[in-house]
Amino acid sequence: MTEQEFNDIVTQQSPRLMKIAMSYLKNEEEAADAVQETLVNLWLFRSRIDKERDLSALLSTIIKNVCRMYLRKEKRIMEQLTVSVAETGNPHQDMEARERAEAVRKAMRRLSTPHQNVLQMHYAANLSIQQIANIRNTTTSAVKQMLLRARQALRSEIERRNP
Amino acid sequence: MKQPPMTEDQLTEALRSLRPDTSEEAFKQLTCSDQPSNIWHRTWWYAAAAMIALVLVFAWSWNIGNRIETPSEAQTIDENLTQLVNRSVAAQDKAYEQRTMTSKIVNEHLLTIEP
Repeated sequence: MTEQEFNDIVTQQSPRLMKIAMSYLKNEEEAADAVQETLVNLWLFRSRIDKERDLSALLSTIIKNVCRMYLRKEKRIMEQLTVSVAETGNPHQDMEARERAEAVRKAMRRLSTPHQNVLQMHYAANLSIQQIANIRNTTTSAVKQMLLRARQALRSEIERRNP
Repeated sequence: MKQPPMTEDQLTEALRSLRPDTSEEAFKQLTCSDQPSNIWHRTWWYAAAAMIALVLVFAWSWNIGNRIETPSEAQTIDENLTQLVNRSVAAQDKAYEQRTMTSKIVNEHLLTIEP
């Protein structure tokens, strides 16, 4: 799935997914989060999705399961982040990098949901600024601004925990 | 131990090293149309509905069993029984009176007959 194909799916499917999410969650903000999470999951698992598969039906299934997770307050895929540091061959550097990543992971849990979401989408799920803007139905400059603020919040959270 | 503040590059690198759970299990959890937990969830609903139905049936049958003892119905039955008993007593009295009268007439008649 290319970035363009993904953007087309986001444009075509978002209104329908929003209706399904609203029927489950009855809350516009939560429904929008569920749609966003569904589309991020589609991008994350794109390599496993067959071309022949009915994408519309698959997205309906995913959003229903995401909504059920919301209703049962279960941990979602994007919340279950793990640390995976690329080995450099220098054990000391690798350990420091792992410690930094772990500190970032813990500090991220304390951020507001929109800040967490935008950082997870851009860095953990590897979505481009344009893709995030499409998913959130906003402009690229708004996403950049949000990323900047989320990084600042993250930095101050790390410094607060490690004064 | 106090760590030096992270540079922007180190922060980016740390953020890029975070990975979401993209395991097969996570994929199945998202794409399975009837998750085991959903089935359990549904089973609990069925069990709760069955319990409510049982309670309703029990309450209904209890109500039927007790209905005969409701004050108005019991009173009606008592009145009917009293009427029946009264009629029966009146009929017995009348029969006794008739028998007494008959025997009196027979006795008087017998006395008038010359041996």
